[in-house]
Amino acid sequence: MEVSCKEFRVLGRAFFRTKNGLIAKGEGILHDAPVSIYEFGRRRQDILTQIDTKDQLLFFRRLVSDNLDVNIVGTVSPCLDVFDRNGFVGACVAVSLDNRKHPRIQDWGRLGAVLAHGANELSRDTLQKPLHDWCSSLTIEGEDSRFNWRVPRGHTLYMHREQGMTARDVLRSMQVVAQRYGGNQYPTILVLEHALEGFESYSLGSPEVRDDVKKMEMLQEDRMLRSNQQPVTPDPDHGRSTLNFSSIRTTEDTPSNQDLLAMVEVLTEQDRTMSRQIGHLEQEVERLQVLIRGRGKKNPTMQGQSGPMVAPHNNNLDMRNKGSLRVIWLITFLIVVVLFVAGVVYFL
Amino acid sequence: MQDKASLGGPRHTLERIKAKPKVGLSVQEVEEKTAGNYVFSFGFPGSGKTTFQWMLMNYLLNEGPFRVEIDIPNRAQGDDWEGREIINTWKSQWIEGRFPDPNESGEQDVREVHLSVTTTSGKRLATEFSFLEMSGELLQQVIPTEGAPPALAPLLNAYLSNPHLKFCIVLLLSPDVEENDQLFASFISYLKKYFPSMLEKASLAVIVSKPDESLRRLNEHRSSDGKSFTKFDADALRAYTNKFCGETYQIWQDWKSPDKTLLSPLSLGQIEQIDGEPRLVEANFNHIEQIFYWLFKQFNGKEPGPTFLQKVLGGLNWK
Repeated sequence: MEVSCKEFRVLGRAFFRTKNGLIAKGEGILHDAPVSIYEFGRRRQDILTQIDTKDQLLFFRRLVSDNLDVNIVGTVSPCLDVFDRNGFVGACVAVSLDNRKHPRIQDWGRLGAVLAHGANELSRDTLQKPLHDWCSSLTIEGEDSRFNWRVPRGHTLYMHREQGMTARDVLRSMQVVAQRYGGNQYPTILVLEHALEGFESYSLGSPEVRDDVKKMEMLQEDRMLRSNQQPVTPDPDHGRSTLNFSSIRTTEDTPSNQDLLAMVEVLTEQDRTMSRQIGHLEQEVERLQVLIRGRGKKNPTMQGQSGPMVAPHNNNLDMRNKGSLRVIWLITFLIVVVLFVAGVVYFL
Repeated sequence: MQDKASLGGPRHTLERIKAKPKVGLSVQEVEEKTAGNYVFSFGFPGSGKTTFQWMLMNYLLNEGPFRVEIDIPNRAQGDDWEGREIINTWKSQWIEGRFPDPNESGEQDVREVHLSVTTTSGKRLATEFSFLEMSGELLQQVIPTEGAPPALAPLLNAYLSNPHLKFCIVLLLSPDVEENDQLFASFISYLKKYFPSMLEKASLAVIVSKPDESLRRLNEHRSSDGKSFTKFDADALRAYTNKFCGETYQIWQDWKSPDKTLLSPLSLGQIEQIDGEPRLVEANFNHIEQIFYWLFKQFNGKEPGPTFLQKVLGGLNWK
């Protein structure tokens, strides 16, 4: 199921293209980023110079900086630069890491609509347009910030889609491959429209990828079941919590210990949202407490007193406590007197 | 997730995917260099940095009276064959007249080609030098922008800060770009500020690429005295540089030693469009030869040329 870009929040987005050199325009965490992070090769042996200009390749790339690592997911197509040299043009969005160390189950399949919007905007004048032309309702988390991004050293992993795979299938499959092989080993994954003769690429429709996709969905489902939550449909106000489950668990699909461990580790977005809401409520309670104390300070009846300030109702409570003590003492005293009198009468 | 060992299936299984280590330059390795001569080509993307080096190698290997050896350096990750690979790629391009591809823009894509050059006629001379293959995108970061001070990649800074290295800075002035002066002046300011000792030893060449186009542009805009030029001679070259790259021209004029400066056009030869692609159908090595002689002199102290005896015998054709 495709969703509108309004329903998926991302950390940044960018357009890039080769013109007189590689240039880019980005916002969010991709604001003013080094252009080298959008490099896809311009030499004759590079794959982008060998495919049709109408072809659009999907890609994953890991970006690292001194204090943050993220993934970018996007689309890129070949084109010529102003000197009629080989080049490329593309659009991408930045999303947070999604692995066991930083658990956050996302669904890249949901990026299909966003990237389709971006791809439609790709043209020779791409960078002349404001970024919100791409998708005016796309919400970028956080403000524009400059990071010294770089791509880790490594090779590109080439994959190709199989006939019948939708954009969503491709993105989800690329996600599981990126989780397994991406990052430092293969910082870039490029997905070709189809296998090319004489060029080695790996199929996104291979059994092991399909298996991994299934397992990822299983993890998501299991986590949801443990949380006693039903799969949610896209929520325009909270797109990040959206997960869509297509697989039904069978006995054969019983997860391994490793998977169970992962399940324990993985937090769904719903949990994170709930934690945030609880956090907000706690903050609200603290704020109210501070406010109440503040009012106590300002209470004119307490002005001029020395020592710790006590609110009036607390004072009343003390008075009540003192009254109770007196009653207890009186009863005890009476019992002692009665016992004493009884003792005297007995001996007499 | 499944164990890797349990993966199977038809031919292209993911099990086979294994990353190969990439042999490349590291900052530490550059810092530890104890000697070296470097041609540092500088300019915007598309200004002709790679084309200049491509033409220089074409001259050295195919035209000039030199024997050239391309070194295969030993690096931490293994032997680095990338220099050899670059030259091999260029060799087929020279034959077909195809121009070199643009460089990739990452710091990890900077590649060093080290050459040992010996004369085969005239004076018996030898020198060693290296050039760096890198993108203009990396270099243009030296222009300060709003909120961002000028910066060069750590690897390039490592080269510039190494006191044992000697540089010939070659500024490629392309008529296709308006902001050449901003880039070159920013670069020299950057060097003055952060690497003054490197600048003390460095030589400076300003190379104007595409002379025909530059001449047309000069006549369109006219020089300050309104003079028009029929050919791109020394006067036109100075007028062009002064007109379109004033601050750089001033820097060139004020360079501490005239022997360490060069102002030259670079004509490659006859270029034709074949199959929608520009091709060098007839190479002209006159300019690149003069530029190389100057470079050779900067590194060796002597310029290639006829021996004393050859001069006495009137041997102008000493090559």
